[in-house]
Parts: sequence; C-alpha cells; structure tokens
Amino acid sequence: MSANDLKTAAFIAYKSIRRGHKSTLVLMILILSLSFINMMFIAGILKGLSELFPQVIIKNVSAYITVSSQETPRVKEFIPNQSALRAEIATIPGILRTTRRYVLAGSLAFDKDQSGQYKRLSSSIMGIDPAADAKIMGIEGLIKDGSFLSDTDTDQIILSSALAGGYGNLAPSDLGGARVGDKILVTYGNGIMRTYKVKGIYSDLMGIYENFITSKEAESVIGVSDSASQILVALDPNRQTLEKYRAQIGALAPTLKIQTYEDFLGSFGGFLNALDLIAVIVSIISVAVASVTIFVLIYVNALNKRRQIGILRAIGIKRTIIISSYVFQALFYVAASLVVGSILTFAVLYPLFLRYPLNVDFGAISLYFTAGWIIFGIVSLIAAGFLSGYLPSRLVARKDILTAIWG
Amino acid sequence: MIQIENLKKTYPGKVPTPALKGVSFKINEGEFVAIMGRSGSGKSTLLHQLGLIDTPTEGTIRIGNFEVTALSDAEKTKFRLQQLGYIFQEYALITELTAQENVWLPALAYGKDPEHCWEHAAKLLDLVGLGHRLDHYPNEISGGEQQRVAIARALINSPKVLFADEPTANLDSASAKTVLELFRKLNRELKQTVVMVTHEPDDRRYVDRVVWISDGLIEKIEKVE
Repeated sequence: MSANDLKTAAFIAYKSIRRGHKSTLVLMILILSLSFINMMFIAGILKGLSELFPQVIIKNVSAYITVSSQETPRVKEFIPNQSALRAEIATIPGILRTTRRYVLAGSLAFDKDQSGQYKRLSSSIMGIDPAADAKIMGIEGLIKDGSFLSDTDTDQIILSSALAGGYGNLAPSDLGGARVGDKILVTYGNGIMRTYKVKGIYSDLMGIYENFITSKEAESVIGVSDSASQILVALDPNRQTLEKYRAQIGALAPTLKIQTYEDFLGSFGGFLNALDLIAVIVSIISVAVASVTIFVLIYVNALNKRRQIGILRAIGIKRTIIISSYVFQALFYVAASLVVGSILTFAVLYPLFLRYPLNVDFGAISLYFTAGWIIFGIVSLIAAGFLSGYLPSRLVARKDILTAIWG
Repeated sequence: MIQIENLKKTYPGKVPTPALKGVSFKINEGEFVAIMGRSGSGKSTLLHQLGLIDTPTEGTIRIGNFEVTALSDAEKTKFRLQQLGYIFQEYALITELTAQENVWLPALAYGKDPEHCWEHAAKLLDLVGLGHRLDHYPNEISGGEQQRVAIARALINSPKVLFADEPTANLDSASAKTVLELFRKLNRELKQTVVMVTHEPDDRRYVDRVVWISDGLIEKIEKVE
C-alpha cells in the first residue's frame, strides 16, 4: 500500500466515523473501555493480592533472608557470636541491615478474673532487639493497643491479638481477653517462669501467633549472650538475585540454615503462581471479549455498508484501501477506548484503591500494575482491534461488486 | 476505441442463465452510444462487462490499447479508476461524503494533487449545475442533483469512456432532460465518449448510435441522424 492509499483509507475512515451513528460510536467505545478496565482491574487486584503475600511474609515473618541456627550434622539451638557474623553479612553489597531474634518455646497463662483459674496456651516467644527489629520487620506498625517494646524492657511482653483473645481473630486457643497492662505468666521450656506485663498487642496477620520480649530478657531466661536463633536480613532485591545473596551469606556461614522468604511462602508460592495464571487467563478472556465485540460491530457495520463498499469498488477504489479504512476505524475505536479506559483505570480507580484499599486480615489489597502488564493490555487490544477491523471488512470487500451493490 | 468480440455472459445457478450470447460491436472515440432493449434483454449485463464491474464468461473487450478482459482484478480496479467513469441508475453516492468530497474521492485515490483536484471537483460540480451544493450531503439534495454529482464524480479523472446505466430511470422528466443534455454537452464539447443504457425510446435523439439488444444478442445497430 502506498502512502496515498493510506491517506485515502484514513479519509474514508474519518468521514465514516464523523458521519456515523454517534450512539454506536459511544456504545463501542464504552464496551471496549470496560473490557480494558476489566482486564486491568481484575489482573491488578489479583496481582495486588499476589504481591501482598510476599510482602506480609517479608515484613512479619522472615525478612528477605533468614539465617537460622545449625541443623546438620548436629542440631544447635543458637547461632554463637551473632554480632560478628552480622557484621560480616553487612559487608555483602546490597545488604541493608540485619537484626537477630531468639525463638523460645513456652506456655502463656492468664488469670483474667484473678480467680486462680488460668487460661493457658503454648506458643513461641520471640526475643528481639526492638529498635533494630523495627527497622526491618513490621510488628511495631501493627501495634493496635499499647506500645512497642524498647531495648531496655525486661518485664514486658507484646502479645498477638489472636492469642490475647477477644479481637475477632480465630486462633485454636487464646488467653480469653488479655489486654494492655494485664499480667501474663510465661513458663519457658527450661522450666523458668516469668511474669510479664502486656505492653502492647499487635494485629496478628495470617495467624502468626507469636509474642515478643526483648533479647536482653530472652538471654537472661536461657543464660546465653551474643547469640541468636535467627538473623533476619534486609537487602536490596534489585541489586542481585536472592539466590546470589543466599550463596554469599552461605559462604560466610556454611553450617547455618539460610532461607529466603520464598522458602517461607512454601506451597503458598504455588497459590500465588496460580493467581498470576488466573490474571493472565482473565486478561486473555477480556481481550477475546473485546475482539468479538469489535468484530461483531465492525462486521455489522460493514454488512450495512455492503452497497457502499460495492460502489467504492465500482468507482475504482482498491480493496486494500477499503479494508484499511475499516481497520483505521477499528483502531480509532480501540485508541479512544484505551484513552477512556486508561483515564478511568489509572486516574480514578488506581488512586481510589490507593486511598481506600481492600482491607483483609493479613493486610490491604491494592491495585498493582506493572509496565509490562499495561503494555500487554494495550498491545493486545490494538492487535484485537486490527484483526477485528481487518477480517470482517475483508469478508465483505471480497464479494463481487454487483453482489455487494444489489445483494 | 472499444471493441467487443463474441461477448458471452452466463449467470451460474441450478439452471445457468445466459444473459449475453455472443455480442460483437465497436464504439468509436467521441461517440455517444445508447444500448437499448426490453427489460431482461441483457443491456445492463453488457454495460457491466464493458465497465469492468462484472466478468464475462467468454469473449474479449478492448478499450483503447488494453484487452481489459485479460486484466487481473487489481488491474481492472486501477483501470476503472484511471480510464473509466461509471454512473449507476440509483446515484450510488457515498452517503458520508459531501457532494464535493464524493467527486474528489476518486482523484484522491488516483494520487493526483489533492488541492488541485479539490478545486477541479468544485468546477465539475459547477459544470453540472451544482456549484451551490458543494457542502451538501446526498440526503440533502434531490435525486436529479445526486445523479449530477455522480456524473461529476465519473468525470473527475478524465475518463476515456463514460458508462451510464439507465441514469434517468429514477428521475422526473425535467431532471432526466437536464442529465441527458449534460451528457450531450460533454460529448459534443469535450468529445467525451459516452455509452448509456436506456429503455426510453425518446433518449435516442441525444445519441449518435443505438445498439439494440434482444435476448442477449444484438438485434440491430441504428445510426441516429
């Protein structure tokens, strides 16, 4: 096709759109815009959900990487000389900061009515360095009652809302309604008993069921120093892959167990992959719906203008010019729909969801878009528009002139 | 100018229908020829073959130096655009284009200078008496005016031959007279070759010759004095 053919096709398309039924035009753009919004919205929500889970794990369970005490050839309860190891880990390019945690087992007991009737449950108690921990993990931000620990606290505890009871979380068992200021009796695995005052209660995400004391207090219970059950590592994920970080840390501590947050996701990772797959499937269906919509509308339009197509051919207008004019019309519909759909998606829905995300137990789901996904959506619709303009007009334009004009 | 040899056209179907059964004649450059005959005689079928909007079953047509029956579909399209003008009985204008745009479109598709042709379209519309209707859409003008727009459109690329298929059939007598006089004016003043199908015996007085068709064959060729 020559530039002149394209110019002629564009002129016919322009006049056809300009003089065509405005209601059909609006309907077409509306349907295609909704298809685009549907594609972006559903995929955005599913992607937002699948992005949220890893963030919840990273912020509340494992950081990007968790270094745990030795398991083979012989199980060791703690990592010795943790400060020296953390200093070495901090030298790896891309590592942002580290913190340590003690993981202790124990039972918690609470006598709500001071009647001597304790409600008990088994749980893990984490010993943390509150200031360092808060820079990596998100427990401090989840405090819903009271306040977070300070490094010097020794007789205070942070409780999970699920284990405290009465906050609506479903836990296998709870303390029956412990609140800030209440006294909790903790019996550790080594038999040592301590009473702590509840300093804060955090909103338990995803049933983590952990309680927090300071490392200083944990060390006094278990009689160690400068040790840790876990070293949590914050890093820059864009600098290198998690596996490279894992290998570099592994080289510094070959006997320790090194896990990424993906390991903690475990089979949940498969669920997240399924969400991504669903997002792709939904998008493909949206593109298919959009394609069929344009196809039907263009086909009906072309059929209605069959006589006109015959006339154009009779006066010597090339078939390719006629087909191109319909392709241009379809592309115009798609372009207009992309503009309308993009405005509604990115200027209305997206900011709305940022401001009012969908709050669920484990966090807030917002719309999540990647440039690749947006490009995929736009290119898919343009391709659908091209084919949906080309195929029906080709079908009609292939009829011989007299049949086209007189049927 | 136009040479037709043993032209046959049979429409396929359960029972094939022969519409032209072997037609041969010549049309000279600058002639105004009418093809006449009863309804169903094959006169429109003949014009469709000459105007390259249908393909004959057998026979040859030469227009100028081209054996047009041997051209490919794309070449026929190009030939129609550049060498022929075709006027339909039912005006056949593009409803979304103004009168001037309807006339201008074939020139745009030809690749001629758009601005020059835009002016030329206006002049042609002026020639057919529609200089005041340039911006009107087909549904805003009468049937006779639409047919004159179609004539102007057929002339925009300076065709070698102008074909007209019962151009006055849907017009009132005054409009029909205007159109026929316009054809004669084009023929006399611009030496435009015109081939017109008509069923009106009175139209004979505008033309040089009449080719009478009956049952798919030439019945007689009459020179009009």
